[in-house]
Amino acid sequence: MNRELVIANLIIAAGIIALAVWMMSDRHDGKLIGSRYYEISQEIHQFAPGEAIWDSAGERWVHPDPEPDTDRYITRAAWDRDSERWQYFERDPETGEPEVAAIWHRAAQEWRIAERKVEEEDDPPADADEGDDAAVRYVATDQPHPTALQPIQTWHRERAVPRERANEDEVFRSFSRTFGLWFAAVCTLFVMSFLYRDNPFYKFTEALVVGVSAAYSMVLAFWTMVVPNLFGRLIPEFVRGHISPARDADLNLWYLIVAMLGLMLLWRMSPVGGWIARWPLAFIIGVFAGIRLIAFLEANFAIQIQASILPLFVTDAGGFNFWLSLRNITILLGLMACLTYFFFSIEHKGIVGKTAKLGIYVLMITFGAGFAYTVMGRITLLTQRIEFLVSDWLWLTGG
Amino acid sequence: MLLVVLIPVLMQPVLPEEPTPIVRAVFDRVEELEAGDRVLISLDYDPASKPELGPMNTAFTRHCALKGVGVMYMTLWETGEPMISDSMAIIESEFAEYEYGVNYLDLGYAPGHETVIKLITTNMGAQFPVDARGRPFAGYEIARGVTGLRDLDLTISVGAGYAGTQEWVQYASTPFPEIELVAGVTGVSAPPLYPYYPQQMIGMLPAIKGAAEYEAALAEVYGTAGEALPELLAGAVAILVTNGRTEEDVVDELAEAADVSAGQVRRMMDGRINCLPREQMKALAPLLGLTQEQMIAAATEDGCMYVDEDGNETDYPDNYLNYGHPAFQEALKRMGPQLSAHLLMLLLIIIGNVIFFVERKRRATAIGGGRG
Repeated sequence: MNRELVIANLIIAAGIIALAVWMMSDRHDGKLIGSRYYEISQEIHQFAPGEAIWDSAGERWVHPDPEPDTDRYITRAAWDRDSERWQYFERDPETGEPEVAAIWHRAAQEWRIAERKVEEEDDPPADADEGDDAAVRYVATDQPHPTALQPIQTWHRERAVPRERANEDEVFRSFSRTFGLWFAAVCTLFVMSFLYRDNPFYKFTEALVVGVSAAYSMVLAFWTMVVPNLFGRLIPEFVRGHISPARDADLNLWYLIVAMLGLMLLWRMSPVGGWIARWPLAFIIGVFAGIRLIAFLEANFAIQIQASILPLFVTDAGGFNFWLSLRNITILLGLMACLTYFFFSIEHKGIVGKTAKLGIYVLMITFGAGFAYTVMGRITLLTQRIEFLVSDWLWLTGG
Repeated sequence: MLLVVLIPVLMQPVLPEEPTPIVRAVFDRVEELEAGDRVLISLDYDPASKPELGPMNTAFTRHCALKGVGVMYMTLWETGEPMISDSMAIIESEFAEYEYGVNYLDLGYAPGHETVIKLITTNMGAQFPVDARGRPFAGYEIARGVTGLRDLDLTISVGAGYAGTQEWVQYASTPFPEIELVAGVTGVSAPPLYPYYPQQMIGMLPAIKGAAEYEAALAEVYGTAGEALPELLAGAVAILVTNGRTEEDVVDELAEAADVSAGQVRRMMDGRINCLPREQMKALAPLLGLTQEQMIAAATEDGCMYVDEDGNETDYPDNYLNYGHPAFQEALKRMGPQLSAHLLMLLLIIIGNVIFFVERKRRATAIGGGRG
């Protein structure tokens, strides 16, 4: 690193620190700029995860009796999807059948003794039994249940709130996200430092982005593609039991071929037998060529020809529509001119040459419009980055 | 260029926008949806395209939720999941009545590009046996009666490239014309997609300009962009602050009286909530030294309707937001820097051309003089 570069970077760093110190003064009631504020939006309780099993019939996690041979009546704690509450079961001492003994009270954070309610039918038959058609539901009383299982852990879902609410009681500052925002701001400045010249700070950020993106994509692809689609078919019980309990796929040995093709693709990294990787690659290309050919023929060829057949003199309720007619004539002339430019069987001289030249102009206008859109996109990227720096990080605007 | 973009970002001007026909077509189609209808929004982009497509995603989400439409989110890009989280955060913070699984659903990332689209046109359950939270798709109320995309009322593609809007056209709306498709795309990918409009695609939001036009249309219908009520509140609060109390104290007192959070009171003061419920106005008025009638008159001046066509009294819910407020107009705010940057570029092009022609003329004169 040469001396000039070191000095330039030191100046930038000093500027950032100076700006930060200035912004951290009383201007924001002593709050650290760039802080991210959150509130708890949901609480998720976890009951004895090591012993919980997935009940596929009921589509819920259940907690089986931990000591089936003892006299304890505890049967299970389970999430009830209909009432969206945790229910705690005890075995009825007379019948031995599990009954809902308690309901988890979210606000009080405790189990409340459950009361059984039988909802009467509007017009029940005279000989109807309670268990036949009457709907049974449970309501929580005001009495806490003394012996029910306690959650071993409580998870919180957090929701971001604007910084104007920072003083509210339920709002707290997230250290990790505040650090993340500062880190993102510094990385943005590092990337922008490339405008001066290539430097180690830029290189660090570039490598970081590439590395994190690749790792993120790889991990996500493994868990969303390989695990459910391949393992989920070859070892479905394991996947259901340990990873995705609600995924209900059967054993399918055809997927062994898929697994084999996948392994063959990895052979490319081997020093010998690289040709083996060409077979799955050929399969992939063949399949995609087939799928895409039909789609392109239909969407980009046949229907586009149909869309180009337009009336040149358009009339509507108000009579002759000049602008729509002009539009259609322009589309047709532009299309014919462009096609002429790409038609090389006739020498581009005379009327053909002039039409081809018109085609070039049409193409230039099209490319110009495309380039203008690209410029607009790039300015938007710059705008958003500056918004991030001045609003999210430095709190110079917005709330 | 940095300065030219920075100054409007700091000033935050909101420029007027008029929706073009291709954007108006999208807005009108979403507006035609009825409460209980269901749409699929596919967010096929990554953080690099978020500045352009994020505002579209936000506008579509708000519009659907304002209409009471059920929304299913999915993404064909592995980096698209945080974009779904952004949408869900908007729903959770602005539409408290929306319930997961009933009104909205996160289907998550679907690997496989166009093959995914091909499959879900006829069988969504095969592609999404479970949602992003790992619970069975078929068990959710929003998924009842949904076999494939054809059972949904609209498909919205917000895409930045491959796989994106072009694939949705090729594999969904073209082979199955009953699948109605609208799109929001980046500037780079917009030009090749124009030929699909209007036969294969109902409409499209091209680049940030399209998003800004959509926000303008949304503000036209769901915004109350007046300043009368915020000014009335700010004036009344300023008087109370001069009596030896800080603004924060006053805001806290108002919040307590109206049984809302202090943040809610601040949003009323800056106009983000412009149409207050009658009960809140009744609670706030005595503290502010105003009458309820004065407050209703100011809100009505801003565009709030407290009486329906038949002359019956109407009211607003306490979470009613003013979508005409700049805080909800991300794309419109980004058109200010666009304008100044484009003006600078035009200026540079003109200067460059002038220099070129002057140089050429000087060279020609020098050569002519040399010959002479």
